[in-house]
Amino acid sequence: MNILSTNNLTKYYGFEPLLVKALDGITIEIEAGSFTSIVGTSGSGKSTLLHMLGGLDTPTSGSVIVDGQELAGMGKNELTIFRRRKIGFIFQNYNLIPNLTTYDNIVLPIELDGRCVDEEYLKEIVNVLGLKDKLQRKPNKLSGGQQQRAAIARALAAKPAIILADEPTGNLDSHTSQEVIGLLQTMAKKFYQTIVMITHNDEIAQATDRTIRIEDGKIVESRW
Amino acid sequence: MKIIKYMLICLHLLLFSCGIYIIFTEITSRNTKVILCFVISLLLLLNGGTYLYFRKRFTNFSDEICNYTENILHGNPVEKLYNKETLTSKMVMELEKVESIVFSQLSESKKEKKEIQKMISEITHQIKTPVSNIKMYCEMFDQPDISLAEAQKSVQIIKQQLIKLEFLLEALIKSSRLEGEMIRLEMENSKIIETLAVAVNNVIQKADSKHIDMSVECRPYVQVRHDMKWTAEAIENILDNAIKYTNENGKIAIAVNTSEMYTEIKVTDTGKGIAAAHRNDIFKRFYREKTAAKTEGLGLGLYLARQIIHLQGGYISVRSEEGCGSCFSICLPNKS
Repeated sequence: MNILSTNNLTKYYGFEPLLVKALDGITIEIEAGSFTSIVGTSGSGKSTLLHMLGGLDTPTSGSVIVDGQELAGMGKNELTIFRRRKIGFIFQNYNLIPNLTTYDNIVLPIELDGRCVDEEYLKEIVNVLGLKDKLQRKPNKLSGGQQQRAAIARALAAKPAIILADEPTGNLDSHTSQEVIGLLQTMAKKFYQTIVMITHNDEIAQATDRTIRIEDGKIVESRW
Repeated sequence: MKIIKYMLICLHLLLFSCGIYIIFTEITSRNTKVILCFVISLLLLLNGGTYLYFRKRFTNFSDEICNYTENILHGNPVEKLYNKETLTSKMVMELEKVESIVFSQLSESKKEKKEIQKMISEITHQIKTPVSNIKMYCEMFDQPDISLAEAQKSVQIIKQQLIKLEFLLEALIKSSRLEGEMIRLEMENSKIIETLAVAVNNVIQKADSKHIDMSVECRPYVQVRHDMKWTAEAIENILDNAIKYTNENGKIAIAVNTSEMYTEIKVTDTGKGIAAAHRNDIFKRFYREKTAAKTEGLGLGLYLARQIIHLQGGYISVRSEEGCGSCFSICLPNKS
């Protein structure tokens, strides 16, 4: 079953003759429960694509269908709620809120939705991610790797069906990167989540089920 | 909640009796009494109305949820309720999520069951050949005119077939242990070097016979919470694999590193490596490298190794360059 699909997706910036084609006719289908990596040089349109998949940006033309729902057909409020309930985003620069403690940061998406925090599950993730003793600290008192893991915990805590990760290992050394990927894999398997991850690291891309290579806004390779 | 309910009832009764008391006993004008009477009955009516209204809404809400649950159960998504800021929408989306998780778990276990059946039929099929061979050569002994040379040859063949049979049975036992959830992990804090010693001892002969140089680099005090017996088996399987695909006079290096969250056991060999296209396949059950058809094996070792490490909350990753060798990393969590 496909949980994510795009059809002839394009995103253009500017006008002729200075037209920039960030995405140029992307058609992909991503199976539920799979772990996909997107690779490509910087400026190739990876992040734009990920933002489109998460409904953070609107395409110039083409459609994005997430879990049977067409994103273009949604209003702004609907889209917000949709993102909150279905999608977990791990940003490259973490985007943790500086004046909330790590714990509050992690449960923020759940509380925004007015749901109860599944404390048992949360304990489990925090344990696995090694953040148990760091929950009451503010993000600026955490190391880069810990902030990264807090961002991962936040994406996982609401148990979204889809996790979109923009270089979740971008600022980590190679060994910690492997650890983070291993964690993501274990968690996703346990809770049947679909992961789409941007990476620059070929070694990490190899560990995923499928790799999509993007150059100049086009898919040049899709390896299973 | 219950206390609030009783307090409200008490308050109502108190007010009501106060009103009655004033109406019947106090000396007030008739007009006041009438107004009081009116107010009290109005209040009662209003209370009753509010109660019935909220009760109705509540039952409606639960009916609605029950109704949608039935829908979801029958696989009809309730699309009109998606992405609304209402309680019903929230509950429906949550229910659908739970349904999809349960459904995929179910189909996963179905798939697994199918795989097991396939595996069993495959192994039993492979067992058939040696058994019928043995039977055939045994029958030859019944013939009165069998020569000594022929008899010796038959015995040799029977021996070979028995070895094959033993190997297949071992594989069957190994995999059945795995499928029947027979892996009972006894996690305890123990030294990695001891586990490594068990694994290395079991394969050192094979390595020696191929003149492969094995080295172990591990600080003796490194401890991790793991099951010694099963982890040793996993490491043994990976070493076995490394020996199998490394040429004579090659090298296998084992190194242990500790990091913040995981302890990594790295097995590097100078074997023939794994093609990028197959790197994800090697951990699959029954996967055999096409070019390795001659080497003995069923394609269970790495699968079993990965399962064992997974069960302990760890993972195995592999890096490899074709023609230069492979590097397997077994990562075990420092605390679980």
